[in-house]
Amino acid sequence: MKNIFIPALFFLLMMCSSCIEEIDLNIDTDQSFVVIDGLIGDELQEYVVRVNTSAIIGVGNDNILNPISGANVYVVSDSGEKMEFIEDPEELGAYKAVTQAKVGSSYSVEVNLPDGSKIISTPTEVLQKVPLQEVDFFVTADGEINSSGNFVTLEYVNVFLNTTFDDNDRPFLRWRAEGIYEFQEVYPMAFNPRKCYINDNIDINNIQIFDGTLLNGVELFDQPVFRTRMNRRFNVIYCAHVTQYRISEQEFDYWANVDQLTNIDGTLFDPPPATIRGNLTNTTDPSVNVQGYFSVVSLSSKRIFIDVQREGFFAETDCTSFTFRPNPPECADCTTIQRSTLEKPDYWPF
Amino acid sequence: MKILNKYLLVYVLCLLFFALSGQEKSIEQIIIGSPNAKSTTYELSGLVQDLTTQEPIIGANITVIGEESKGTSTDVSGIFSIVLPNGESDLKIEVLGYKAKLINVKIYEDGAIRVNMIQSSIELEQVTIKGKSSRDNIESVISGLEQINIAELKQMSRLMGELDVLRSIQSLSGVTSTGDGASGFNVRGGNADENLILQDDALILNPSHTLGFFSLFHPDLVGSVNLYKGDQPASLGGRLSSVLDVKLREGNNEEYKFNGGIGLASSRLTFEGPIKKQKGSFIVGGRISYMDWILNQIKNINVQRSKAFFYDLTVKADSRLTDKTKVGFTAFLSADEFNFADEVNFEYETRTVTGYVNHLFSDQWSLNFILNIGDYNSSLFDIQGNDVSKFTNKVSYIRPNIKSLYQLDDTKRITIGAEINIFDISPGDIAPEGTMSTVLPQSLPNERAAAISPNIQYEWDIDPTFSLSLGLRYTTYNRIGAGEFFTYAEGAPKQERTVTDILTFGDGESIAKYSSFEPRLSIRKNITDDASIKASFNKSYQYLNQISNTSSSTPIDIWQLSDYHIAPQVAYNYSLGWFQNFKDGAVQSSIQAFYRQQPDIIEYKDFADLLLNENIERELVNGEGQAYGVELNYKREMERSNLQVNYTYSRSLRRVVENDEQNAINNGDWYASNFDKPHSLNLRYSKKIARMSELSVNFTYSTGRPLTVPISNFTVDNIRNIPIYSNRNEFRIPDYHRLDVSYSIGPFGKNLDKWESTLIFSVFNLYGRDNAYSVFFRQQPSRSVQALRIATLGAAFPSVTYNFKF
Repeated sequence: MKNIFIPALFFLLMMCSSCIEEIDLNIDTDQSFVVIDGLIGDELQEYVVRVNTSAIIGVGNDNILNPISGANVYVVSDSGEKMEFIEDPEELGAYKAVTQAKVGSSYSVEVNLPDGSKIISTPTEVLQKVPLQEVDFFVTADGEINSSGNFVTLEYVNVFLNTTFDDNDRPFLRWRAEGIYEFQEVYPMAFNPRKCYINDNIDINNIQIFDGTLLNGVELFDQPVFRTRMNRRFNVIYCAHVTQYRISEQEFDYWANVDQLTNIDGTLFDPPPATIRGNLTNTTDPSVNVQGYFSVVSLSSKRIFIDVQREGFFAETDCTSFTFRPNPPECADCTTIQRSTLEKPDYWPF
Repeated sequence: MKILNKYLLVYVLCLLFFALSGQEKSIEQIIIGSPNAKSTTYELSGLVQDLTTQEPIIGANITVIGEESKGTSTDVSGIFSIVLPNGESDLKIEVLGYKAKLINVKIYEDGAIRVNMIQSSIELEQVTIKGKSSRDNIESVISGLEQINIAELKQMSRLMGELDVLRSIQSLSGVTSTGDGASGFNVRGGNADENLILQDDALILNPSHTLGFFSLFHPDLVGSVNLYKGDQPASLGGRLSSVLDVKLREGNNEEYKFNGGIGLASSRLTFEGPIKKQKGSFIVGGRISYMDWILNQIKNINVQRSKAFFYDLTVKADSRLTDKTKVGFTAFLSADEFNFADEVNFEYETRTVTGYVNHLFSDQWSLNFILNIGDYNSSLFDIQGNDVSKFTNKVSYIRPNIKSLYQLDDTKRITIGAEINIFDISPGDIAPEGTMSTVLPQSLPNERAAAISPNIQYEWDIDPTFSLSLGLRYTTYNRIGAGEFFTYAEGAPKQERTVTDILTFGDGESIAKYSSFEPRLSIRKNITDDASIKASFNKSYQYLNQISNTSSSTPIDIWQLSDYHIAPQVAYNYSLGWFQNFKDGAVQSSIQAFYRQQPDIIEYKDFADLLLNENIERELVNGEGQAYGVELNYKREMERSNLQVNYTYSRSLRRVVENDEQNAINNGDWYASNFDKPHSLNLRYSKKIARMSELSVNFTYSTGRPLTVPISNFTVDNIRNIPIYSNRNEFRIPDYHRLDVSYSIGPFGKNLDKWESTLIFSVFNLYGRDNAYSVFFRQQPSRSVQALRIATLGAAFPSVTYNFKF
């Protein structure tokens, strides 16, 4: 039996496991590229073209922007119209203009960088607007396994939209959403309680696109726009502003690729990643990699106010007047919440 | 020493007997097991094959001298099985056109041997030990042929205690895999789908269980494993890289026997016996897994919620209808289910049946007819959210094959045959599951094709030191309708906007025809008694390709037939090798160089969408490939220990130069393929430690596979941290290395006639190397990009297996 003992000991001592861990691949990442991010649409409003360089991997934090200041930025139409975008001294690298594109015309961006190089985008036509007919919401209570492995029920607010297409004109669509909610200070934490209006970054990294050529019929029902946890943001009232962009097929492919690239699971079965190509070219040296996208769209939008009590739910606030539980500091000063303002939007219902 | 002296005496007496008798017959002495065995009978299996070509020999007669009524013959795979009494027996092996061979067998446990027959004009004047000739590597005309017998298989690495043919294949020079848990294997820089995998002549499209952790081949049924890395016989074809030819052994034709094993992850059982004593036999073997409890031990909630299950069942029967006619069949069923975290469910199954009839018409002529029918089904279930759906694809095939062997004279042999491959592929159906699913049903039209491949192989031993093998395979391929195909503007990328017309083909109408000549050439020249040089060239075509742009092939990858747009792939394979033995064959070594040129390969565009794509040609780009390398092998067999070391340097490169700048990959420069692993080292050492125990140690090392990594990131609109990637496969994951040990004890049992058992302890990945199964990149709020490594077997993986036989 001596012969069995040693292997048996091994068996008892060893443990089976698998792991996911961070590793250093020792890759020289000292490379950055020019990134252009801009949009022009058929509504008269302020449009922005941002000119930055990409962030070096492993340096700095999330969402670092390295603005390129001093560039000359124009949006050029196929009729020869040239609109100049002026750099905002308060926001370097952001070039702005109040303007409006015409349906049926093509537009491209032209950026002359301080180093003398010139970048242009592929001319893109502004297509006929697709009206956004309805935006609404519903609340769901979903069972989930949390990170501790326990089954929990969580409530979510789901915002969706309905729209109808022309049978002979199947569009490619993209939706963006903005959220604003009301937050109220409480007495006696605040002697004279105020209301704040907080701009909610509701659709960061949320890509919502649709290929109208795949729709069976002409009516798009219950298309999800965003889904978010029902919490104190819905205690009073929440305003969701949904914008529908009609985009080109090329732009649809771009966002589909971005969506695929930012959702890689990391298995052997994932397709190999690759760099996304936008619609921008460095005409001075075409071999130079330029990133980003200049979007030419027609747009329509709708705003809804979400009161979850309509659905029979109630979202509790973190602030209570008479309790031994400590209140968070924003119950005394709501301006401490990021992106908050005391100025009530002019469309606020009450 | 007394026992050793006795063996020596017997050996010398045998030599003396044959020398004095003046017979021009060679004698081999084989010892299987130790003389202290207690059972009264044991089963001896064997593969009889041609020494120079390594082709199996059908219909060879095996008789026990002094007991002539007791005998058997080899089946269509060249395999035989016979029960011998404990101790010494003399076997006589005879077949037309070959020197009769006498083998003195001392058998003390069940075992398998390989018998190399030499044609009448060639002398073999050495003694073979342990069932395999020490001169095989010198005398065989085929370069790049790797053979694994059962004894070697038992010394290989065991994961969860399982003997595994595929893992053994991956320890050979020139063979790599993309990592633990990868389906398939890569040979000399080729893709995994470029290997023709056969089990008893049945086509196997996915050789893996449990997404690649185990192989499909039941270890207790495997009789022999041949891997043709370089030259391939003309009778085999349809793949660019290699042929893996696994033959199952016949059942015991004298008595009923059970054997099996109980392991941590799976158990297996085999039952065999005579249909009619010495005339026919059957063998039935099955395996079933129960590894969910292992997954539950892994400290990852997703893995704990996962399930893995497989089973397989093999039935084989062979019967000698007359002295000259033998028939048989092998049926195989394998099924897998893998559920990951209640999110995705894979299911896949292989079903094959192969029947054969072998007839000897005369002393010079034999005919063999084989019919293989089978299919491979795979399903992917999306079981969460609104996308609850089932995606399925299926490949069905019918493969009749006829082969005739004719012995022209003592030095010349010709094999003429024809193979037909008929494929019917359902490339993809998706259907919603349940009433809440928003998935639209979609079904791609079936694809059908037929290929007829007459082939001829001529083998000529010009003199005892010089052999030549010439082969020619001609394939005519017809892709059959119905179907619709777009035509595109000449020279323009295949895109929707470059469509010029649509072609419609009716049911049964020919869509595309291709034909190909595939020459094969091998030569062997002995330089000295202990050294030979071999060279080979072959041209191969492949009409059935796996469409996959992932690093490793998956069970649901689609098989795509060559059609109007996708031409067959072609490869030119060259190899040159020097084979040198020392110490009378106790030390064998070789150095082999190879080069492969592939002028037209299938590559994928960035972000290619392959699933349910009716116009898949739009996702593909044309490229070229090349692979080259050098393989070094060293093998030393000692009385109580064996050492085997091999090292491979190889490169596998690709280039895509497209007119359309968007589709050129890496600016049209050469880049590493997904499975390019320049350095690969394997070491295997086994030693008998005590009377009943044996220790095996396996070490493997290879360069990390290529990787495309993010080198920068940016923000557009509301989407943050969009990565910018390096050139395709510009970097590599960390190198792979692993040490495995295995320790076997046994056989146990007071009366081994009735019950015999062994215990095998093994530790896979002894020092717990965190080999990367995958490296990926993740962005988290307020953090820069992270490179993350998934190590599937990131710790030592111990196991114990109990094997039994009665």
